[in-house]
Amino acid sequence: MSPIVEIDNISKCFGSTRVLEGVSFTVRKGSVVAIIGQSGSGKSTALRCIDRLETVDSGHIKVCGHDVTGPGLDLHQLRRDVGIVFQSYNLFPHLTVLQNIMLAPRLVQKARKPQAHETAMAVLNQVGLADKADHYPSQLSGGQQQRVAHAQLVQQLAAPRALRRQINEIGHGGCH
Amino acid sequence: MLLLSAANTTLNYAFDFSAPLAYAPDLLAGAWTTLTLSLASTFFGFLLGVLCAIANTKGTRWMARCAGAYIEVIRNTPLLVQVFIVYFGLSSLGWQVGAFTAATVALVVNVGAYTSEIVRAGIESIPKGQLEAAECIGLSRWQTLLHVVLPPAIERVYPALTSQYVLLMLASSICSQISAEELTAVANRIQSDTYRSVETYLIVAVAYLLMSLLMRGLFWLLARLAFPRRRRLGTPL
Amino acid sequence: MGFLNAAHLRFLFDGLLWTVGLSLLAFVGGGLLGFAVALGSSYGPRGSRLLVSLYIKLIQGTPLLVLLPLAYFGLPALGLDVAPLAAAAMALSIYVSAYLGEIWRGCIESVPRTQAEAAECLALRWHQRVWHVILPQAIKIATPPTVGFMVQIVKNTSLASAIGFVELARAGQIINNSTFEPFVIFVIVAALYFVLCYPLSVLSRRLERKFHVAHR
Repeated sequence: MSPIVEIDNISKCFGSTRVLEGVSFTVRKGSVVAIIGQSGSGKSTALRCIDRLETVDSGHIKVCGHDVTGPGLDLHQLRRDVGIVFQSYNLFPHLTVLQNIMLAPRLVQKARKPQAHETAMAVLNQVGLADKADHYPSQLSGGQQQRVAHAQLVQQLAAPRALRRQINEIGHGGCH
Repeated sequence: MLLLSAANTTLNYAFDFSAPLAYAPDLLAGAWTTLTLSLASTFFGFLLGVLCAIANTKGTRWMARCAGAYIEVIRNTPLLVQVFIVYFGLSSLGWQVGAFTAATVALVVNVGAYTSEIVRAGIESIPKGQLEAAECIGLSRWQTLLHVVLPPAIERVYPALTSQYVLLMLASSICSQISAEELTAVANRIQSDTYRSVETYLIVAVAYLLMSLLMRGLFWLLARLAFPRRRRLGTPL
Repeated sequence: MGFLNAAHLRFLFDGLLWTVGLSLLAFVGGGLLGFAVALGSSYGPRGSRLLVSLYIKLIQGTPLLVLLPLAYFGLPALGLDVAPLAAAAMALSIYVSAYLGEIWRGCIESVPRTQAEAAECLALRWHQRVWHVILPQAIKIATPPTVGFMVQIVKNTSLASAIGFVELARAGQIINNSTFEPFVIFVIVAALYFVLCYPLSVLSRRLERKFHVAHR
């Protein structure tokens, strides 16, 4: 199985604090990876570097055919291909659950409203929250918010060439 | 009424409200002009203010500096002088503008600066995590601004904005100084015709209070339409 | 700029001095009245608090350009013959008192309740508590917004021109009536107001930052 994520000898400093030093690993297609470490050991930083939320000081990162550390990176396409669920879920509080899930398909993939509505309801059904479609995130419990965030991820899978990656206390990695 | 009759006996002044009230149609016309002037200035001032706030927070350094300078000049000079500059200045530069247009332009420029500061505070209160989440689902910078940043930002600062626009309506009285036929200008005319100054201005003061209530009511209605989350949950963002 | 001679500039400068003078009068008058308003609405009995609240809402809901002629024409009706300066000072003082009273009330109430309770436990009487414990802290909190409001006072003195008082804006109008170069004249007038107001704005922001840093 070809590697879908290749991290090669990355290092990162925040000011004078060295957070990552010579970190390397690969993730093969279809596998699930958990990154475990003490708090403050650089787990989140490494994962943020994969989606280019942070830049590394040295080393190479390749994700699903994108050379993240190289020049000429199509950031927009990278973001469409990599899905992230944040620790604090980061749902948009002023939108209903349904509107949250429909946002990216409508704006990024330019899907039509009825079609986006249909797919969104389908993924909500998958995570068992179809009855909460018209609720706002503040009305849901933490666990339910997490499921909505996962539904958003599954929604992204519906688009072609999608790669799924979950950042959580336990990090998951997986792809199609 | 009791106070007034007491006043009648102790003061050398007989209150007579019938004289200014005979001008009721003019007063109503003046009030209508005030309302249309205020609402027009509110709408365009809001748009200008939002654009300025975006320039200040998300624009280049040069854009932010320009916006900052504009805001400082407006906030540190009186509205009266701004109105004079727009009205007299534009016509001396060759542009013939009516009093209502000049008044609207001056009010828009003025309230735009105050709106910009208020909206900027709202934009800066949006947590960075929201921006990152928007980035990660692939929204462009403009899409993020329009769908993720501005709606909650404006909802948050809505009370401050509405107070500012009610103040604007009161400040529109300044346009009487360039003969825009709004309520205070009508009052000035009536009192010089009837010599019933105190009564006229008391009536007009009450009229402004009523218009303030009307404007607050309109903004409350607008909030219920624009912020469905607030209407349904009743909690602030 | 050949049309503006030294006499014109002197006239403008005199107007500027009157603006400063009227601003100080309004600040002192409005400050004293506002202080009473703040105390009345923080510590008064229920009736007086309602009255004060009504007063504040009425004054804040009336344009200054209506308050000014009310004072100018209303005071003679009460038997007092007043010059424009006195009428303007009175109207502005009332206007300022409503806003400063509201600001200062907020500052008094933001002094933590525990301070008042601690003072009570030391057996201080009410007026001693307010004078020695609450007010010094409230004054510190109140300084930035008060300095900021002084900018509003200076700008609002320009409206006294409507009742004929010759301050800076009126001086500009008078000069314009003889030289007919309104754009240049009013830009100069605006620049003079800016010179008065901008330092106050900067000072207010600086005090705000200093206070927040000290408070942490």
